[in-house]
Amino acid sequence: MFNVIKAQIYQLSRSISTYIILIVSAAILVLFFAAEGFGSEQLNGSCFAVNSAEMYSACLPMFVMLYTAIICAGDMKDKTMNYEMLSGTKRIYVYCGRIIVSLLVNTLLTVILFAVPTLIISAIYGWGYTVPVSDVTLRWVSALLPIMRLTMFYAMVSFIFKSPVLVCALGYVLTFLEMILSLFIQEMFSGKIIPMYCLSLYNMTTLLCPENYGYGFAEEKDIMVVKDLLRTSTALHGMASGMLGIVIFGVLGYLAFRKKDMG
Amino acid sequence: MSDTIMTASSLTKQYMKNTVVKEVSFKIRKGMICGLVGPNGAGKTTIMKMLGGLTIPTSGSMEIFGERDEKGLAHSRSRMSFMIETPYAKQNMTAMQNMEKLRLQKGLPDKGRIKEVLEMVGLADKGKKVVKNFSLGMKQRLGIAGAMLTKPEIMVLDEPVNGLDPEGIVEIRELLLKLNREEHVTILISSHLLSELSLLCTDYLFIRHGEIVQDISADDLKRTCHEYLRISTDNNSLMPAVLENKLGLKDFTVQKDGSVHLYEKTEDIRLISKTLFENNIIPTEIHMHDANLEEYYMKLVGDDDVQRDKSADISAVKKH
Repeated sequence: MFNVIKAQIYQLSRSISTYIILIVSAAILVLFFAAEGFGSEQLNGSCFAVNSAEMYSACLPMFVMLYTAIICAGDMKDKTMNYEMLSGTKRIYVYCGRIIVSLLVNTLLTVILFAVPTLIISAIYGWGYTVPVSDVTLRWVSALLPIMRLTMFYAMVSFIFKSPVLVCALGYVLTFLEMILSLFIQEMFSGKIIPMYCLSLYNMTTLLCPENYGYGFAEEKDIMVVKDLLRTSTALHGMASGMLGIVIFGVLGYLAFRKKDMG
Repeated sequence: MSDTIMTASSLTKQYMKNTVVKEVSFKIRKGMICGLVGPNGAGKTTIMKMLGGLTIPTSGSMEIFGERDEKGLAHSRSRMSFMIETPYAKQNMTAMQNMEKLRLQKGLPDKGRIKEVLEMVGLADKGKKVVKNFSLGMKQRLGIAGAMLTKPEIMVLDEPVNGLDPEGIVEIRELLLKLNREEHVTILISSHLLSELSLLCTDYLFIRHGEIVQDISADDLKRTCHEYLRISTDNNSLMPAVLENKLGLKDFTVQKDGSVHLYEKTEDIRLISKTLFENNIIPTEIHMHDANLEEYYMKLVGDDDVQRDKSADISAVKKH
């Protein structure tokens, strides 16, 4: 399995699509940032962290889907994955190797996209008062698990459908359906926290995005602040459901791949 | 037999109601170059995929290096190399990068082996070229290079000369012969053209509609297809001694009915008849048998299938 991981990392590091997705995701972020907050009076680390959360929750699943489809389905499409099995690597290792690389890459992507711009802005403009560092840290850390759950979901789809293009097409449709379902659940179960655990996207958004904003007074001026901080119990529940999703999608994906005839 | 390193027993593969491989059984012995010959769609690739663990057999079993269970078979496969259908290649990577990825994936410590195998297949100067710019023949060579990376004990090659020019075919043939003779690599190689394999194989498995129709050694095949005189006389029991002692002939076989298949000096029918007469043996039948490999193949796998393959090859050449 370690060899599969090493080979995958080598391949990704030499693939132009790896860098294109990273650049595009960073570019989208910069564009969003330029449109929303560049030059604003409140430009600081905490304000950026809060404002960018919504953008992350909308865009990140797409980047996660692209990377996962490339890692898990790309080698099935061109049949290079066959050669891992032909060289005596057990299917479970071929599967787990790819899953681990997908999780690593998507976690790394998330950390880079979350942390790097926030740290840069904080270093230049300071942190500010919009939200405490502890709340943002808790949100980011707890949101990693739903992101991993999303990764596992797309990995499962990849191992079933074997084509990156098909995975992306299906992924977009499913993401769109999940968004609609999230809105529906929000309307139906307003105030109840349990339904958010059913959907990876909803889970991630709830953990990542503060809901209740208001104005506070600091440094002799009105500034936007987050009124409701993320409760530890909500974060823990979200993480637990993320873990459960990881296990369920992981097992389902392997069951689909275990006895699959490779084309 | 103790030198049997791979055994397939009643391997069957069924897709819905379509049985593509039916109860296939064979043995591969150490040092063999075994040709799996049959028309397109006969089931050659499916058999190889089952051996490689890519396709799960519907029934039947296999034993490789004495291992039968999935765990053991996976270990055995690490001593083998395969090239099935598409040669190993990521299109956007260079030949060198592809080999390096394969090296990492196989856990080989020696980086120098990459250069060695690329040199062996004549791609040493193309290492930095992106694979998508390779010709089909170059991709085949790269696939063979990948198969040789681990110094395997068995190589399973699915139509490895497909798409190669005549010069390339000769090079690959010589390379495989060299591997077999010098490094004792056992080879299972498939093709839909017997002529491609006739200069290479020590044994043949003829396959048609998913069934092995004949398992024959190259010597026996040559003998069967070789031009020979079938001689029958009124005194078959004496004939072999006369042929050997009076004419000095040694290359013949005595058939079950007592007749003789003579493989040498087949042009000397007059001399043979005269000598037999002189020894009070009256020939009742002297018949020249001149079946060739192609005829034999056609008889075995069916004219229609072979004809269809030939048409496909011709149209492919025309397109090319």
